[in-house]
Amino acid sequence: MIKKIPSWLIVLAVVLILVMMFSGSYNQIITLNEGVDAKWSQVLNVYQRRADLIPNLVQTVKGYASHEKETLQAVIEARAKATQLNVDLDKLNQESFAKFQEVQKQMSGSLSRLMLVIERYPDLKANQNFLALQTQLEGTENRITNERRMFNESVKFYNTYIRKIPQNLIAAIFGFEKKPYFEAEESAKEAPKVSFE
Amino acid sequence: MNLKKITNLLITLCFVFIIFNNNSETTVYAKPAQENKATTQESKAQVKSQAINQIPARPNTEKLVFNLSKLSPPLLSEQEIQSLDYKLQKFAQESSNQILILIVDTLAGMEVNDFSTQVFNSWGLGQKDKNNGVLILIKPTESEGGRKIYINVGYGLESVIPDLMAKRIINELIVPGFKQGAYFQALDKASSILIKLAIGEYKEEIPQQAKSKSGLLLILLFPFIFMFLAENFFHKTGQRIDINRSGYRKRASSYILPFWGASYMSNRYLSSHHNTGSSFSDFGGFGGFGGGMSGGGGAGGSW
Repeated sequence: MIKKIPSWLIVLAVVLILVMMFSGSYNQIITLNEGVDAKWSQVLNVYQRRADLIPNLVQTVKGYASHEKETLQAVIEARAKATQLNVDLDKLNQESFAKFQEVQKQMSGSLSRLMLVIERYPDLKANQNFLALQTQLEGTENRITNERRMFNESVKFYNTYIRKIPQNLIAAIFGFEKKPYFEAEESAKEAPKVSFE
Repeated sequence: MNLKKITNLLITLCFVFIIFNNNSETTVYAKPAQENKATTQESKAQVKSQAINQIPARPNTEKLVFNLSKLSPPLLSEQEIQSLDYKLQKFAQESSNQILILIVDTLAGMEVNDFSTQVFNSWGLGQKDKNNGVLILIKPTESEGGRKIYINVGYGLESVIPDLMAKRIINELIVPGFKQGAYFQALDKASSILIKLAIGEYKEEIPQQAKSKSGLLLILLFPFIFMFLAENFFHKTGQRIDINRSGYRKRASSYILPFWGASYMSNRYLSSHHNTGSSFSDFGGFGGFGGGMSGGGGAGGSW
């Protein structure tokens, strides 16, 4: 009896110690994961905000530039695609992330083409409702830029953390994977190309 | 007996590992905190390598009006700066809302909204939990039309200063005033309006800033580590007598449990610390600025 208790205790201690050792890292991974999650929902938020502005914008533009049907249609379609695609962070792999990015890129592209078309309608540009929408749209684009950067940053922190020792072991055991980044969006910086077909 | 030696060795190794592990964790935690205190920008808002030289460091004063532009004659005279500063300081003390006016020569190659957001977040305008700051960024250099102004509104004030309102302040007040060269008057009026808008939201006192206590963890752990090492030492020197054995057992159980408790608590402490905000390193508190964030809201214009 007396001889057995210490070894039992030691085994228990070893187990406890191992649990403690790993739980700290595990908890930190969870915390960082949650951080990325929060940032991702912010990203979705601002994209949703943009999508919400579009019906109003389309309606306003229609009143002045009804024969720009194609451009308007492209915007509506791009919006429909963008709002249909819901990406949970849990399922956020390279593939779905790339798709999300692609869809939003199309949205940006069609919007900037619309804005270019609008240049030809001075009445529309003077419309108070349109000006308000334009300001809101600008603000939303700024927020998108910002939230994307914040997301990338938290992903960078997370990715770095889970690849270090001993977190890489824990990450492998519990299936924490590297998360994808947003790539720089060229279309946002460049002026949209207009095709004459 | 051999088995026992091995298990003891194993435990020692485990402890060493834990010390190492805890150490490395505290450095993981402490590092962002240090960076945070030093420049605040890396952990908060942007990728370190890109931002470190581009975003101007926050001058080490509690002023709320800064002219970092070398333009001469300056946009605002020394007296005008003091007058605006006095007004904004008073407002900040009364309401905890921070409105800051910054004049710069360069946007570091960024868009004005992007640059202002990064400055905003790196300086941490407004209180951390309220994000109630406003940054008025002015870039007066470059030719006509390329001179930029941007009103950047923190997350917490977006509801009372929507983009449209910021745009109106810029279009109807600031740009016309700036075009006439009435910089002070335009900024004075604009800040008065922003104050009135902001006051609708927050009127509370400025909260005390939290302090980081991560060093406490190691201090808490040391007694247990020493006790354990001492225990092993006794085993090795063979001073074990039957009479003492029960004593050892007692000690063994009495130190392992507190050890577990302490470590558990410190883990909890650290993780709860990290759960408090959306950012992964919120250690709060730098100078007069509370660590508020902006999501890029607001509006800009040029004159």
